[in-house]
Amino acid sequence: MSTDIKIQGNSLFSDALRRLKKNKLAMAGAAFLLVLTIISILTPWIAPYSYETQDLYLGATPPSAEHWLGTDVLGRDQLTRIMYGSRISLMVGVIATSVALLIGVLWGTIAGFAGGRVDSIMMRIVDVLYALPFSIFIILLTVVFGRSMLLLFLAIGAVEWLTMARIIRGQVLSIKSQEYVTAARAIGLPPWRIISRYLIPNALGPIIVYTTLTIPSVILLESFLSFLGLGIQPPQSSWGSLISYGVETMEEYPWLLIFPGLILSLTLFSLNFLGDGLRDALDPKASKD
Amino acid sequence: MLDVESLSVKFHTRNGSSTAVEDLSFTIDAGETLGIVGESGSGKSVSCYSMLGLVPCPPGEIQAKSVDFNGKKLLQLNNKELRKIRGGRISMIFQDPMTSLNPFMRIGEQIREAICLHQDIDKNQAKVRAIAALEEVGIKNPEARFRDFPHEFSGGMRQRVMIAMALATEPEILIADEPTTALDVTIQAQILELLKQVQQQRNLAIIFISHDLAVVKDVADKVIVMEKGVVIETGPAQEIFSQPKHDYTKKLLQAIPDPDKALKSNEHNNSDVLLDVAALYKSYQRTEGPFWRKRKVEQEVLKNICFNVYRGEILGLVGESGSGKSTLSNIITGLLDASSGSINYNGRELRFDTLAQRKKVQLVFQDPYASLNPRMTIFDCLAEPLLLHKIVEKPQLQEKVEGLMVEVGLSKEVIWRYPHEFSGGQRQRIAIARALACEPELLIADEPVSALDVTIQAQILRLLAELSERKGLTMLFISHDLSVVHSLCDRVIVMDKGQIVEQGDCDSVFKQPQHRYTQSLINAIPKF
Amino acid sequence: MLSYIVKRVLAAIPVLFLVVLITFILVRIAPGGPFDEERSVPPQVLENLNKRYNLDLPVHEQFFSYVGNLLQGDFGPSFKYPNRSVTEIISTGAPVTIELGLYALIFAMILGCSAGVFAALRPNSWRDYSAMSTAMIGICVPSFVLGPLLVLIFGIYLGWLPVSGWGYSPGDKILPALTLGAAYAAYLARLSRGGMLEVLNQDYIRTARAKGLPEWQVVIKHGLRGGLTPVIAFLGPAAAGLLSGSFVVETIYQIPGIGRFFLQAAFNRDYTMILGTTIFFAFLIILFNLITDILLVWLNPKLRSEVFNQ
Repeated sequence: MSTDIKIQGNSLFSDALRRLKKNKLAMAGAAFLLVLTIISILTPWIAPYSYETQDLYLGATPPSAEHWLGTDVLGRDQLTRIMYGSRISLMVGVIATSVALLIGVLWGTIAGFAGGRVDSIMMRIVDVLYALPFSIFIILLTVVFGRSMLLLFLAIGAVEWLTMARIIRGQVLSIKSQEYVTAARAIGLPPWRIISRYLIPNALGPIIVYTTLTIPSVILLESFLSFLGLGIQPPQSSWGSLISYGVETMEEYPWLLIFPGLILSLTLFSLNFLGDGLRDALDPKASKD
Repeated sequence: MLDVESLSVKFHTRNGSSTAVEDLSFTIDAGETLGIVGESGSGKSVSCYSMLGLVPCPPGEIQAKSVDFNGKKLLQLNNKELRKIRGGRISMIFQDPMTSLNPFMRIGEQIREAICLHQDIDKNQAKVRAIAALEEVGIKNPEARFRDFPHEFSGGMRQRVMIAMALATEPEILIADEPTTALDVTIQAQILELLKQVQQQRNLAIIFISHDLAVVKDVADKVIVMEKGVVIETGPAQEIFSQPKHDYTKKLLQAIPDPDKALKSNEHNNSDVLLDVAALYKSYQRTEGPFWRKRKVEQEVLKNICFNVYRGEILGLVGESGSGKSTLSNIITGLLDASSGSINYNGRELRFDTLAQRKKVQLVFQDPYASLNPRMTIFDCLAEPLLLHKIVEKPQLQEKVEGLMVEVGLSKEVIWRYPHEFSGGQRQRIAIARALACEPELLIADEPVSALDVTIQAQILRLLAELSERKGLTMLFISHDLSVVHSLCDRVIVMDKGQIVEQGDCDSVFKQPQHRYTQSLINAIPKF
Repeated sequence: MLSYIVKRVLAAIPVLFLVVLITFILVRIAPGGPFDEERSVPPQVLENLNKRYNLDLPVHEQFFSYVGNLLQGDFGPSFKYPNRSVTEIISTGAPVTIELGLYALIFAMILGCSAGVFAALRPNSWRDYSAMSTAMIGICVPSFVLGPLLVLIFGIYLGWLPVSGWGYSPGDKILPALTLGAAYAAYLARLSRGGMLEVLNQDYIRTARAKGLPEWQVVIKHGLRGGLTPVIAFLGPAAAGLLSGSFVVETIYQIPGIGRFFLQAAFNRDYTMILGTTIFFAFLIILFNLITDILLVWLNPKLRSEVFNQ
């Protein structure tokens, strides 16, 4: 390029980022999630105690200097257990959401882009699946196939992809009917270029927003199953199973319920605030003028 | 009757304060029509809303020396007193009749609600009044239609219902906010006629807000011209339109397409056929009836369309909504398939299977906000067709893009910006530049100026005329606006209900229309 | 309209059939027979058991005889409680679960919609923020955390309300209904706020104001109808959520509802019971979706007349 000064424009994404940075709640949520993720990844190295160390003489103790969040009935350090639980819960959240994202984006894009018969058949399938009682099916699956983590990922991902597919298809359809796509077709741009340069960049905003909002619902679903004893099995634990464990003894040792509940709720808060913030920031209506 | 003295409206938001209306004064008496003219953002609607408490405060702040309505100080009234006047003694109608009626409520109920609110009568009497009001505005069979929902009426009929609702409370002033902007030109003429008629019968004062000078000239006795919240000029309509004093008013008046001052200088007389459309039909099938007794219904949207486009000419395609003009343009550009018929381009069947073919026909759209990819810089947007069709090599790319920008009257420094950083008119120029980048032979412009303010519209039209002359570009110009077509085009095709009712030389069609529909269209244009 | 309803009902039947089929297959392919846990069952007894539960027939015949019985309202006998039929268990548990769900829904509708409308009337004001933050708490504190907390606070520390049971002591239905409904109240608050905000920006609301209607009438007569459409559309999914939520709530409060039976059946591998309850749940969910869809059409005059003219 020439040496003269470029007057650089502001892309919609850089505008959106600026708006997002102004949203304090969303930024707080992002910061919390970042810290939580880092801690979860480093848990095996930074956890104060070993995961399974029991101290039956100690038993359940309230929070103290040695055990910041107290210990459970078996004398296991609650903080350590929550840290390991975060690993599992976050992993389920991210992996199952990725499964949903992958299937949903492919399905929705193909249906929306193909249109016509293909679209109506594909969406009819989604409609039928939508009418099925999925949370019950997941329980059924765990009963039938035993409780495995892989199954959990697949099952939760399989539920969540439906909404994803619907949203993506809606996006694709609305973008497809935009005049700038018509213009691109009139220019003679091949379909894959239209998809990569027109459809995906414009659908990315809603996809990001919806992904952020899917993670909390996945984490919630996993905790729900683990709470019922149908998800993660001991000795592994997730937030849901820790809460379930805490409920049993909540009268005597309320901290065993309160801390896992708190961390779960804080994570859900952060993800929801971040998702809402992203939605406000990426809202095309707000960026029209 | 209504005396407004130095009204100002400000909005205070987090990003600072802005003044929407500044120092507006006017008076209006019974039987008078006051026109308020301005482009979008001129504050013409806000000024009327603010008097009646329809501007939320905060963020709004309204100040005035006085707003006096028959001795009542409107701005000093409390909410309850103001509500008695609003909708009772001062009624309003709005721009879009499609969205201004509650879709969940029967229209009769909506009218009756207004009557019961302002007059001390029981429900049955109110119903009688409501039916009478519907009859007055020309709704046929008003007793039966009383129970209909808004979606069961056409656009023009809905505006009549709105007017009936506004008049049913026997107001002294009617505020009409762009009442005909969303309507077809023939419907617009009918609604304007209706307004004049009820004004005479009831000695009604009308405040007529519009961006369209021709319409305002048609109806108004007094005119206020506004720009960015400031009153530019005010006076009797005759005076303003014949001897405008202010530059902005002059600019507005000049922007009105004038058929006697054609935008193109040279006469077109080329008989080389570029596009030949013959016996084109398009129909849709849909099913009706319950699923056990389904029947197929054929709906014809285009019937036997035959016309030629000659090389180098600007052909206007005119029709109202539902005439099939957009379907036709979609078929010509290959976005839709015709049911039968042929389209020949340069003597051969028009197909879009090769790049070389594709680039010859390009499009310009109506909505400048939707026609540019918001995620691409202007440079990328213009470079894309250039590279795709190998029009220039990489080293010359930037130079060529800058050249295109200059050609459509934009600065070449702004090519690294994104579409949302431009105004509507600028975006439309960019869209034109993108079409030109392909070096097309035929440019199809589908209502390219109808979303723009009148001064911007004039600039874009001039640009199109200039380009057509300079580059010998052939153009199919689709529009609902006859005066625009008349000033720009060489020939014109008039469509109605999927058929071509008339085609020919622009001047002769406009001076001696043969078909009744064309005559009614031309008669409906507000005379300037 | 009738044509539309008939069509929707007919379309729901294959979905229900699909549910029955999938569930049936899943249960059949489950590793291990239903009586594996009963160690050292004599072959004769096993054969008798298999006969009693039709397990000696080929799978497709088992399926059709099951569907045949279903059509007569017979879900077959329970594996674990041979003396009770699944139909019996469902018919004792279902009313409790449905009652619980209904209370939760009513609570959620009243609290959620009023909070949403309240917030929408003054968007971005302190009351909007406080209503919406509360709603966010409702969404982010799941029922299995909220329930125990409520028990701890109102049941144990304050001792105001009973902490378990259903209809045994006065007030024992309050906490379960609150626990189950809280999240839905929060969702509905967000939905109704969004719906109302959109509607209040519509042109016809301006028309209603221009008529001189008082603001409360503008909101109630002209705003609610359109603003609450998303709320109605949510009823179908909410029904599904309430049913699965009842698993948790019935466990926490020891309520003898169908959700608890389902969980027990899941743990005990009581296959006919799982099969029966799943199908029953699916039936309820499909029914609610159906009602929601029909309601949405019925409440929208434009859709209604489109359906009429179809």
